[in-house]
Amino acid sequence: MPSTDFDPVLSLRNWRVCYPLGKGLWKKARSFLPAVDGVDLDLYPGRIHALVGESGCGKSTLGSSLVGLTPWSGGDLFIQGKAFDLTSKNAPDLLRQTVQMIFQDSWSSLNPRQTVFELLAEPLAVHGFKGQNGALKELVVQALESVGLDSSALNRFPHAFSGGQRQRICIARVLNLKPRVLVCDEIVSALDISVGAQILELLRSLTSQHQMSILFITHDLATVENLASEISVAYMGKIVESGPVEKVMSKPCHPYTQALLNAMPRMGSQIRPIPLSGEIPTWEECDDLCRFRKRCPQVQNNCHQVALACTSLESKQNFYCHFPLS
Amino acid sequence: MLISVKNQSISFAQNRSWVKVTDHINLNLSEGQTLGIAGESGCGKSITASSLMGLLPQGKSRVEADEFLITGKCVKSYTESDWRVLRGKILSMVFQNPMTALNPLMKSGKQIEESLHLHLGLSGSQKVRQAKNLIGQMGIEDVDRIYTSYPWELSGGLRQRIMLALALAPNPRVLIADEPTTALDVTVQAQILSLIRDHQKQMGMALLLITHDLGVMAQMVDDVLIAYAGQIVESGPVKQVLTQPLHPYTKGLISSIPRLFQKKVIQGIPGRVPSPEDFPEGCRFAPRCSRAQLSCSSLTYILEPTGTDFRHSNACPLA
Repeated sequence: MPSTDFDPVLSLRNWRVCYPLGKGLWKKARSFLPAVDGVDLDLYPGRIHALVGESGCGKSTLGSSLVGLTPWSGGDLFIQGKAFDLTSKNAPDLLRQTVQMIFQDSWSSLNPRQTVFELLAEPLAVHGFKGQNGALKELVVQALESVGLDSSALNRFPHAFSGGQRQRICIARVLNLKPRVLVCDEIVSALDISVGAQILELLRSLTSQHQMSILFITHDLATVENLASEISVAYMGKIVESGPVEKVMSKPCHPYTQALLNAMPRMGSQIRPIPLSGEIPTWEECDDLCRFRKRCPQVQNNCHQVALACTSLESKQNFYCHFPLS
Repeated sequence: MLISVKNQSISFAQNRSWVKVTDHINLNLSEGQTLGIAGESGCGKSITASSLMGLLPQGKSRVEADEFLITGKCVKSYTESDWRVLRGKILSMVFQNPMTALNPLMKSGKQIEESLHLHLGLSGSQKVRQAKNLIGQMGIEDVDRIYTSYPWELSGGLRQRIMLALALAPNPRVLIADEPTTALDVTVQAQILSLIRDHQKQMGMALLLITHDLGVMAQMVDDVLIAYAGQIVESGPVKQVLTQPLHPYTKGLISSIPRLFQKKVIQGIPGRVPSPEDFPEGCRFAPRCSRAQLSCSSLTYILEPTGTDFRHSNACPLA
């Protein structure tokens, strides 16, 4: 069906995830920290959507809230255009049939006491696979082969594999569930570049093969340019700029995007001025004003007074800034 | 010449025998020079750096070299107390993970004071002033608050700055930085790198930078060594090595980097670095090399100078 190609598999509207502060066994939470504060996001089938930002900007929280690992606090979620009932008791379980996640640290996401076969068979059992053992094994081997490992790995334990191979096992684990959306949280940042490159290639081919949609969380902009088709730049729980990768990377509108691009160490280029001073500020002063204003090189009076609204360009680029870069 | 290493090899004891982890390492570092070592994990980069600091476990490791001089004196003649003087005043090191390198029970200011007291003999208000001064130099605005905070109260970037202040406190002549920014965000990475660079230029300090990020390498150092499986496979001025790589391994590394504004397939290098017990015969990269020939696995190749300037050298005869 051609129409589904252009409809998002998963959409978020005004999505919020808050962490309670000062909560204890008998104490109620004093206040809430909005780690994800009103995010809109659309994920399309067969495409990779990159989510970038510094540590602490809420990008991982957003990812883990999509599989129900951190409880969501508000907003709407649509799966293939249909509103998803977030209030039902087994909402996380239902959600995980569509969305799956791979983490940065493959070592801690695989049970060291399970063999590769057990590791790969478990998710199938959890999600209600009912079939003969032979069929189960066939599925497992198939998944292993599609990530470039073979059946000799079946009876070995995770410690017998290198970091890159372990990350492949993690990918194989989710493949059999045929998730329509895959959240990848910094999956190559712990790997050597040569190995990371192989994993990225694998991810790219799997995306087009299975028409999966990937939310690729990373802080490495160079990978994004190479891999993704859309990008969202997050800062302090908000998306400050989003759009098609080529547009955002070549003509960023938000000063923060520009600063991130400037900070990338690049081969064959000389030293550039330090893009930003300081780090992400504390969360105490979260308001409707621009949250980047304290570090922004182009800050003006308006930024401290007027609330922000989204600006959309014809090129599908959206950004939140009073004084966009030309 | 501050550091001069010729034909060095390092072995570790394992099951009652010695396993050679690195060999044929040649390395020279003079005042104000910046040198980088690049390669995948398990190539012996960090081990080489530790050997320069005398940090390898005694009895369990063995360092052999035709020549191993630090500030012109042979390392073999150094006693443990000589090393203590050397570490700090002459050589200083910054590690990848500041959380494990800093003392969690000591306020960050006190840790810097300790270094100033030990190496420069400062005391009293002079010590405090100098420590605060150093923290300020690291681009930290809120000096007094940071001075009295414990390392675990600080963000990764601030912690790495405290580490750097600690390492630079005794005004070392060589700074060895082992993956100093790998765990940091790009914006913070840019800040830390420019701090190191500024200090290096101001004080004429030599810098030995170990990283697997060739982009960082290109911006920070003059000369670079590419290490693979315990050997150096290519060396030369950073610009030449990165723009006209000769060794297939260097080419593989460079093609693995995703680049901005260049949409092409990232190739990567198939396989992985062999562990020291089973380093292959002959060229160690041959099993992963796309251009390997039969002769590659029988002959041993050692880095030899090529070209007219005899500086850009490469160990692969096929290149």
